[in-house]
Amino acid sequence: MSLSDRHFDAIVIGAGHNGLIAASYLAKAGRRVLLLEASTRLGGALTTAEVSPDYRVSTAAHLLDALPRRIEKDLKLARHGLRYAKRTVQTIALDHDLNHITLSSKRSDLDILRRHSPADAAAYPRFAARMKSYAGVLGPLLQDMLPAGAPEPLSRRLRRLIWRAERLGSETLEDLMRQLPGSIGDMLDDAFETPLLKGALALDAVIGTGEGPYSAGTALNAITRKGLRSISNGPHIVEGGLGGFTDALSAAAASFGVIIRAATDVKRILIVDGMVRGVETQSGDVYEAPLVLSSAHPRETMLGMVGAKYLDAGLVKQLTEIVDTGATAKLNLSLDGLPTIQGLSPQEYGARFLITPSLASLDGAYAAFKHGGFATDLPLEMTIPSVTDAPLAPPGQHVMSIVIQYVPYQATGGWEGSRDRLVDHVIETLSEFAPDLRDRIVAGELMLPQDFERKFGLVNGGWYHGDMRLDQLLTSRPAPGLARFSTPLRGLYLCGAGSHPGGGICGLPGEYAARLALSEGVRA
Amino acid sequence: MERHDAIVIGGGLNGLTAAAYLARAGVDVLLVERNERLGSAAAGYDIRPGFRMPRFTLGTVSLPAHTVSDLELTKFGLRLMRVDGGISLTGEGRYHASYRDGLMHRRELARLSVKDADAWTRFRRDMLRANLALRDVLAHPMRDPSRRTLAAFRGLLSGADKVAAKPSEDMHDLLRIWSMPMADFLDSYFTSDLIKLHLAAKALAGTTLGPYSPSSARFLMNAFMGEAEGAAGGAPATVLAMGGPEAVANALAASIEAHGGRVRTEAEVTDVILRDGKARGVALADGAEVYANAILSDLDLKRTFLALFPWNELPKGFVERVSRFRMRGVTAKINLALDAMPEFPALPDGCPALQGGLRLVTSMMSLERAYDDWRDHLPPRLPLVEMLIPSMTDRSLAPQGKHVMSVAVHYVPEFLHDGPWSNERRDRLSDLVISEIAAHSPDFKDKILSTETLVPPDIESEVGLTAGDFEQGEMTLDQMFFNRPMPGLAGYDTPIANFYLCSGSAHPGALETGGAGAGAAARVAVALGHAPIHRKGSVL
Amino acid sequence: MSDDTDLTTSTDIEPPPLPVTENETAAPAEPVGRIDLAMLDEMSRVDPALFEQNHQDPPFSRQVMTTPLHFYVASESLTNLWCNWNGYSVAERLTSIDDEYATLRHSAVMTDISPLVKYRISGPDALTWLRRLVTGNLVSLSVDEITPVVFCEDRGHVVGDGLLFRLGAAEFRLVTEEAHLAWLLDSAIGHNVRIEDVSATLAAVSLQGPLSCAALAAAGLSGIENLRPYTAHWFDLMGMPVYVSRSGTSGDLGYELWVEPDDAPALWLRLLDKGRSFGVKAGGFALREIARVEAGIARAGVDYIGAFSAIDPQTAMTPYELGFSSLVDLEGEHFTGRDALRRVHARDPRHILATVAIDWHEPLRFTAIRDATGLAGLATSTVFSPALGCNLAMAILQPHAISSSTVLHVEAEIREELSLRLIHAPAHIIAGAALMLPARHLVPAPLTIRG
Repeated sequence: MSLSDRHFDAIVIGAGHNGLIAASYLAKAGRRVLLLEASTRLGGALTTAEVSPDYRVSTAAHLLDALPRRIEKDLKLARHGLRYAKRTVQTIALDHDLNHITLSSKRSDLDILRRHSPADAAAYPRFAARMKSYAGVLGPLLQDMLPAGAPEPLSRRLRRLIWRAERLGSETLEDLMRQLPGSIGDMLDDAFETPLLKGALALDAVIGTGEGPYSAGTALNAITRKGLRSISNGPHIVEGGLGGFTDALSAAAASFGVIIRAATDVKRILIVDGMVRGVETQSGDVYEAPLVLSSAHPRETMLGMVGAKYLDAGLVKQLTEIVDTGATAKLNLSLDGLPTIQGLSPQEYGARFLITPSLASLDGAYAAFKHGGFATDLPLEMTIPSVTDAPLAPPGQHVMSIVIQYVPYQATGGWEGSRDRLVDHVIETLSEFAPDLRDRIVAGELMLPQDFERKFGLVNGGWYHGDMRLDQLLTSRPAPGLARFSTPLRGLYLCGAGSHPGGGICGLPGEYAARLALSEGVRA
Repeated sequence: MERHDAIVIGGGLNGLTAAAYLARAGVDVLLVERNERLGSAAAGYDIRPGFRMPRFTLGTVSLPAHTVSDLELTKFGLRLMRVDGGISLTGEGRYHASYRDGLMHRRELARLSVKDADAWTRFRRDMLRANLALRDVLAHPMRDPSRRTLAAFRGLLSGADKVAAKPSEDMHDLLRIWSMPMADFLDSYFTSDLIKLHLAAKALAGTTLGPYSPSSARFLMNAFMGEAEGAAGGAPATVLAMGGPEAVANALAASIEAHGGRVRTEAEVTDVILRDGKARGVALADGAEVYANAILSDLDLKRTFLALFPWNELPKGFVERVSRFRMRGVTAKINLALDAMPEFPALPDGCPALQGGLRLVTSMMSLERAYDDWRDHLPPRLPLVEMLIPSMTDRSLAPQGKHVMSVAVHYVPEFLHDGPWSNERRDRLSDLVISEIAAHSPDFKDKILSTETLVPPDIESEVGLTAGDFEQGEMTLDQMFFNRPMPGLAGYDTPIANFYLCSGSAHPGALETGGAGAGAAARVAVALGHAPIHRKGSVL
Repeated sequence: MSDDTDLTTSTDIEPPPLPVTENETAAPAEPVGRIDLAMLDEMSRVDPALFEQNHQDPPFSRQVMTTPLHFYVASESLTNLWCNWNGYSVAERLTSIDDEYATLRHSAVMTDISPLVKYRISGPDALTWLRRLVTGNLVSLSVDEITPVVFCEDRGHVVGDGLLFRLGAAEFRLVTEEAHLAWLLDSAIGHNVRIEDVSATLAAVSLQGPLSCAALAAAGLSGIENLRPYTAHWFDLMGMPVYVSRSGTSGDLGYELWVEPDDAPALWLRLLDKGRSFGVKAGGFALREIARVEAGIARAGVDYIGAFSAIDPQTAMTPYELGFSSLVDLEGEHFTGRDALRRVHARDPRHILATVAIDWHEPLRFTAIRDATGLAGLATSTVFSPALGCNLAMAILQPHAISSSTVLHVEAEIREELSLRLIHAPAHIIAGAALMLPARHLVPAPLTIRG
């Protein structure tokens, strides 16, 4: 290896979307960047793979929720192949009585809601507007944490927050104050009466997390999620699945000159005198750089790659206490034709479907999950991406992508034999809406939380590198001693979902960490 | 025509505290109570002749020291006793006790884990720190952040500056205790399951959250509220009153009367008399009308507004907001008169911590299961059973050699998924609980002389607490502080002029016994043009 | 070891190579996935048996905890005065404090110091872990050497202090005033190290005073005079292995002897017997307190509050504020709190722990140290020093009180039957220790009073 193969301005560990984004920003600013990825593929959990030959679908997450337009533009992702199969995806709550509720304030959609409850049809637009204004108050808190430059004093940020809240008007503010620390379940119980509507909105708030619909803090979850989505007008369906997004990010990174090495597992981060020197790989290669950004789980980065001896003991304890709860599984199906979803018009097949009949059933599924089991009527989020992105399956055929909520990482009695039961439950639930589904299945794959851990290194199968819960957000993310992307080690930054504002495919940790690293100006 | 400066409706501890503070401030106050006895939930009764015990509550007392001194309650007969903090006993006969003495408690912890004995120092520190922060909040009247005045806005800004000035680690510690699930929170201090379970069971009893619910950790600090910073370093004490919790009510009543206030029992208020949308007086069940310039209600929010007012006199939408106030009963009560002291062979002979009560526990997960059952309105299968034998400490409560046992059973729903509580269902509950106890105490069943079982609807009908909710509104974050009972009403005022809420439905609710009463009294004293009431200290 | 071993040569032996060195080839700490948290749990269950007591006894069954020497100390006691030290009953004084003090300064005094907390630290990462734990530099600590250490939490506030013994290449003993197992184990995450509370398996006797060396030699510890300060050595005394360290809190020549609890009585009696001709006597806890205040040694939990006990975060103190500056090495390897200490290093201290002398010829009771404007500090330990003929206090002072221009005094009440006298006694700060005797440093140590 020549000298220039070993010396870089910056090294980014992990080529998930945050790692790719961080590397791209650094390279775009003229740094020579090496991006190291342990697995043979890029993109981390954002990947599109074959369920069976010629049927391809996003392996894990399947929607792009919260990627800010700014990142899309800065990295010229459109030029590098990012295409949206569907830019605005409707969300439809499937109803047993075929009065499917589309979550929108459009008159025609509200007409259907009126069949369930005239009061709810009247309340929905108000509710949506209220959520939007809440998100307007809190959303910036997620976004303006720290762009380049010195972190803004907390007092000023709080003052701005108060000012934004003050402009809401006292009634809305009173409401926000009351809802904020509460649960999405209580919030919805106050607002609506239709079980299906409440179930769907609650599922939308808790999906991907290990919290129940009546857990304190889930109202905040719903609001921040809304806030992140409003940045990007998400969710979107990406052409080629989320692997398509990864491809665009990789192409962008390459175009900025990022040197990408896959199948290169970082063994440790080299530290000399409290400063980062570079990294050493499992195969013993040493790459040097004064800047290292890691998008791995903060605990893996700080304890696995750096080592406890370079860190304060209290910080180490905080890192070991980061909670990751895997509560979500994924079922991908290859279908030999489009299943008939009863009561759905043809143009609605490209939507995102939420399936849970009520808050009570959602809560029941949560209770079963808490005790290491799973409910028979599991809450589902389903899409048929091939409807809007035909090349995913052979002509006339389809793939179905199903996110299954409240599936435990460890099942009581083990997962042996329970996998089939889980798949059965899910298909049974879906068949109630699409009776011909079972006959159309060509092949399928089930990803349990433990499969996510094995395949993507997600601790306990949790999707966010630390649950997005009150004590693991904002200045406590991932730990109070690490809250500003920087670490006690000079030149080492955390750029993964474990950093503020967290997971949910928003790319902001990658962008912010890169901007901070650039502004702090450690030079080769 | 009878006329006073102020009328307090309801003789619970908050109502009595409010009246006592008002009387002391020179306000001509009348307190009216529907029942024969004062104290509401704190009332006692003779379960059989010669056996006296608290009927509705377990029987421990938590009274802020400054209330005792402000109202001179010891002068009016109140005798408080601090005993060791109780014992938890598992099905396998393992136990863990709380001792007030630092050294003794350390040795007790070390019996289970030496590491945990050392971790206690830090745990206790963090509990006291959290209470100090809370004390700062409780020491001031709750400001309503949505009240759009310049002063309120300035207050918010200065609050924000105060928050920002704190080291982020301190903020994080506070955030952790206010937002984390109790089980996770305890894991970061202790290794022994029994120690964790002991602390969790004590803290969760009577709350509407389970050990794995987010934001349940904060209940851990309640036990430390009365602990002084310099105390011996052991576990917080359990406080009992000679004569039972009703003694607190009686001392408060004596304090009211000594300062010219009046207390009238067996006087039920049927209506609040309104003139021009303002409260002018109350109508009593016997037809009498009493007038006053200020009326305070010690009834819970729902009972106050849904029962005492014609709904059309209330502002639009208010009834809906009131009915959304969450009140759910969680506790059933089983009262027992015993022929002899029950024996617990698993406990060491003469353990002084038994005076502070005994809890039967299984595991954190079964506690969560009990909580889940409650949410599903199932009859309890593995209830959290808390026992207190007040006659161990106060021999006057039972004949020589005999005892009364107060049993609180937790996570008992107000109604069952398939209907209301029936007598048969009550009996099944009490059989279950008594068998649980008997499994740890041979011949226990033979010692029972009398028993009475009260489930949440019984408590509602006897005491008047909606849904049998002792907290008069769940103490969840969205119903606390400026949200209690609802945003805009946190300062004890209500939409009806001259009418105030002084019950546990108001701030600070169950955080401080009598706190709402004292707060409302301060508000009313100002409204009536009296000098502001000065409380000597605050919670600790 | 045999009686004729020459210690001067044996201590010259090269220390064994350190198991883990600083260079970059050192194995990184185990990734967290492989951290054996079960091992931490197991360590926390080390038998907590207290001396002579069954640990299964409920705590309320017996309040008096005794050390293995309790009976033997009791038989020397003419006063029957006892006090509580770390939960154990120890003699407060055995005769009169003047007698005991005179013995300490002219001969030597034996004290039972078994209630100290002792941890055994072993395992491949023991040194790495200790370096990260304590603020000082341990690079030069060889086997059988001792160093005072202080350890902080992340914010640079002192958790505790103690004495660290290197017993072997990867075996150490940490002796502290307060118990810290929770912090030690928590900070061991990511290290292959074993930490055990061995307090109850190790008894200790302190022998302090100018004739301590002579008395030990007479007791049969030959070559003891060659033991250098802050080193230790294994001796054989009547077939008992005794680990003797030249350490102590008296500010004078002194030794501490560490033995199995079962051997402690024989050791005690032997020292008493052979020391008699030198005037050696047993002393109590009160004397130990006087001596340590004279020597300017702070006691954890008394003169400062450990970071994990301090309810008010403001009362937690940094090593600089406690006068432990010399034990902090900001330039060496990383330790917990280093980053925070680098930040506060240059900052003015919020308080300072110092020794204050109060010029008054009889013992006083007081807490407040005052200056002309008001409160200047709080006394945490107060003793009357017979040698200096004045009251001495360890005190937490406000920074301005340290300046030489500040005139300090204390106010005290002296009760005389039914009358009360209020006195103002001038006070001044003593830089360093009030009393530090040169014999402390002499090698070989003096075998007679003249040295």
